[in-house]
Amino acid sequence: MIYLDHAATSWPKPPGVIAAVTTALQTAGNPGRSGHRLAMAGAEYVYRAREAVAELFAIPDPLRIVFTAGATAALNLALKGVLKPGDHVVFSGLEHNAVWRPLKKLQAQGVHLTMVAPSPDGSISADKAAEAISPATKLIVLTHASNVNGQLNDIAAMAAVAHDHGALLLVDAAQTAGSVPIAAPAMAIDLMAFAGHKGLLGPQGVGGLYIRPGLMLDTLIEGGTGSASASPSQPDILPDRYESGTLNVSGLAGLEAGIRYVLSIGVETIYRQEQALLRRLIAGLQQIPALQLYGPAINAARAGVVACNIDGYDCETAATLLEERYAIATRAGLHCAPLAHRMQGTLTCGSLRLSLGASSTTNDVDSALAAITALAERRQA
Amino acid sequence: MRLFAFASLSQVQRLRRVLLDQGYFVDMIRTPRTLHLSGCGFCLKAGEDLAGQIRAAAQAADIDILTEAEAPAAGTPAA
Repeated sequence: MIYLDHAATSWPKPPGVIAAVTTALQTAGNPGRSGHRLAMAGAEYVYRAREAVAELFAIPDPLRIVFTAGATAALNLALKGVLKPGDHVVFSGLEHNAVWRPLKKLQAQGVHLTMVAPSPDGSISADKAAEAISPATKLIVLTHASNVNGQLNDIAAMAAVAHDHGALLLVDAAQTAGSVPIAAPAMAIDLMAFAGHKGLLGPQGVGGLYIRPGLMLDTLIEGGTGSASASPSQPDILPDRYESGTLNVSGLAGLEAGIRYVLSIGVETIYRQEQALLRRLIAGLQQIPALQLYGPAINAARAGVVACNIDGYDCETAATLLEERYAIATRAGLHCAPLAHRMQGTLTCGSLRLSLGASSTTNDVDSALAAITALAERRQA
Repeated sequence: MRLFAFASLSQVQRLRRVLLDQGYFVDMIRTPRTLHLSGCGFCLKAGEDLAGQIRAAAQAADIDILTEAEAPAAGTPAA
């Protein structure tokens, strides 16, 4: 299998991740509840995962990392924990449904929304976001990179705009965590959601939210935290406040192993490798006449995601043929991001997405180029 | 021996790691019921010689010490 669907989930997982999950299932009890050795082992797995996330994102205090079931849960917590009726939020036209759908629900409850469409070059302009801000603006939401076409956004510039106007910045780093260097405090990020199973190479079902010091959100769920148990109220300390219920300990053990693997290579190294493969892929796709390529220019800032359509094939058929005939895994459709597809003019047809990861190789890219070329030529013949 | 109770197990773990990085090993134990300490049910246990380091580390990490108490003698009956 040639795997070019890393934007959906990374594959294969490093052997250490699989071993860590298995070992945790065999050795971990419920963290933070009982005091026996299995429970304490469970707590150690969780804390080590917290430390690994903090190290990866250069966050001094690991307790500012809240674990969730994934980036979607983290984004829901951030959006619904910050925004109240009457508030205004600015968001980009590249956002995933994990942002768009919660925002639409909040809109029905009285939150006001303003979308900033991409500029002609595909980027989200901080100046345009500034123009959209009103006195009621509480939050700017920006995806670090589009999961549809890889457009990489300038987080620091958007943070400056948000803070100049007294608003917070929420970053969706689902596509970039582990693939693009991120130093959350240095980039002045207030809130950042990340997925554990993509660039961080962990298992599915884990993710988290970074909450900068001094920021307190409303809770999305309440329940047992293993702390302040006699109190009827949710504790106000992190991470307990936002981690009710038993955590996915084995998943977090796998997440820690995935992050340690990423750190052993270096995010900067992974980024450079992916960029080299990305340029090779785009340059090759540009040589295929019967192919529409979407997204930013080849040398623009972008993550390892490419969107295209082959003339004469709908994207689903192209993806199916790539798998059946060439054993190449891709993803076709709207990628749960209809806003981004609307912006790039593919809302009705969708697109074929090729996405790279830490395990991608030159052979993967060249095989995909050969297969897509063959499909395009067959249709032309 | 002294016991230091905190609101969250994660806080206990963080302080323990901070102290370890400073070269101090501190025990993490279940809070004895006889002390009726509030918090997460876990605490740091250390001799008087390390109590100052624990207080300083907690302050530096912006973590509140919920309760500090003398550890009960072994065999103290539960209340």
